[in-house]
Amino acid sequence: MARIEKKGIPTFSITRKGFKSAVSFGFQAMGLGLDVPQHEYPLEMFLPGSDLTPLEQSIDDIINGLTKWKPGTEGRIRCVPTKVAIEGNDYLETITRLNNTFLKNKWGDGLPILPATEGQVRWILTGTDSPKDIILGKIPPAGRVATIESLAVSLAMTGGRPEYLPILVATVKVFLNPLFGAVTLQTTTSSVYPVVIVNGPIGRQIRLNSGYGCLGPDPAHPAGAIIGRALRLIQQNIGGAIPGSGTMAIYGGPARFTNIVFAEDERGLPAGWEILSAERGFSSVDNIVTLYSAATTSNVNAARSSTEKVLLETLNRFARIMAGNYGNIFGDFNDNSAPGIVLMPRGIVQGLASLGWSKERVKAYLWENSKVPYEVIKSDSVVFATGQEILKSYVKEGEAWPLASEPKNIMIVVAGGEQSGHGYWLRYGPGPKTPISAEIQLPKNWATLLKEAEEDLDTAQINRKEP
Amino acid sequence: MIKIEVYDPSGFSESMEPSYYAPRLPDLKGKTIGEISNGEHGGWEIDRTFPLIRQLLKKRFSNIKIIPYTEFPSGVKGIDVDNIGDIVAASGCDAVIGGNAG
Repeated sequence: MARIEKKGIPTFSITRKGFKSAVSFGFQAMGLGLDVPQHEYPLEMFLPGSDLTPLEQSIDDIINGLTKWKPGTEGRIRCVPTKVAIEGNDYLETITRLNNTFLKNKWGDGLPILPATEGQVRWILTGTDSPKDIILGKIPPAGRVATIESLAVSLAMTGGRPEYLPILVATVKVFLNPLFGAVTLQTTTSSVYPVVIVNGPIGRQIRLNSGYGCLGPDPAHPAGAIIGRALRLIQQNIGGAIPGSGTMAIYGGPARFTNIVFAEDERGLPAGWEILSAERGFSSVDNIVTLYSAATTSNVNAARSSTEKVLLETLNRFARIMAGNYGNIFGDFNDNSAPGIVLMPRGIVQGLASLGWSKERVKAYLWENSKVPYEVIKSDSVVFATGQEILKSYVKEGEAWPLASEPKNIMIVVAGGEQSGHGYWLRYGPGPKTPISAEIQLPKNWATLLKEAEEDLDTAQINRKEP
Repeated sequence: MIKIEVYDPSGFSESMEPSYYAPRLPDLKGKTIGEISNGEHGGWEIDRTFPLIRQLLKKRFSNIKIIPYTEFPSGVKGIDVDNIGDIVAASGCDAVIGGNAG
């Protein structure tokens, strides 16, 4: 509606209860004000067979919205946040008051935060060569502005370090790419969360987990949770994704505290299996972030590859789980859309490779066997109605619907350690039309930062123990 | 006593440009009103709420013209946000009523 207003055509929005702020944020993100020509109606009015009296009673509001309405604020306003002073009798009381203040302002997530003081933020900013006031863009739906400094502030709140900043900067840049669909991801009723997969030497250098417990938590590899939580606070504090107003995610969930940030276990890939970033056109030695979004995770039990028979049973189990919860996949289907991420640990992929299975062959098998039978999709009227126009270009009438336009779009990422026994399926969540990858820029002082981290955290000892 | 100063983490905002809002119409007499359905699957009772608004507007303004939501792209996925302003402008709408997804 904001785009229509900008064309000189007045609009009025019929808004469901709970969505008023989200609609206002949408207008604000387009450079208009938070004061929006809209009327919020009770949720019951939008249910089948409802009483439409509220609509009838508000017809004057609708007419006035198109004829007499005026925005409440005049003039351009640039609102720069100030620093917040916190006092306490001792350290514990000060930190407690800090956390209480942040919760009162809806700047926290309920878990403890650390103080983003000027000194702490300045230290984290040593993780970039970019000036701190570089504007990265407006985070939807609130449309407040993210700068390099505001990313460092969030990272300081979550216990971050300078060497984590390059991944966060690259991630937020991708998040703001219009193709990524951050507006939908941020506001949808789906409980969706960003998934960040890192390739390149930076993963091991900053102790990003790729092995056991790679999706967290892990005290020896805290980087993923810290970076992911900083991203979540950016989504919430700068983007306004507050439950029930900026984000309408019905359930939320534990992954929305820290999102999912991990590295691919590049040393675990068998010969001939390309790492994710190389498949996506980057050099295998570059530091790359790939951003995706998921709404559902499924553990795939008894996942092994000890014999051809066991291997096929495992892939069939994956395929059944993939096909069983197709969710929004068909509504957002396109040439490059990916239905989800198949996570396999070394123990499975090494077995697959030793039995002659290439990565491409595994993808082709999963793609073929996860197709949703036509009679199933036809009987699911809402999903069918959403997807039939789109899928027309890809399948003939009566054919099973594939989860992706071609096998290569099923992402397989190796992570999770050396064992077999379980795999994981991270299913697509509304937002990105396609996964997006970007290079991570390192600062000139990178070696120094890693040396300091080694001294602070004894990372050399951790790295020596890892396969 | 310990005192610390921390950053407000909410970023800065740069907005409120009222001139971007379209000027309102002096009246709806003889005007063309477009309906935009931003909900998926035609849901949220769009097939009842828009006809009621239509009926109420026509009762109030006898010569008003309505272009129904079925004449425009609909749904978050169906509406191309970069082009919807042009599509509506090309249709000759003087004003637009949108609903009911958000």
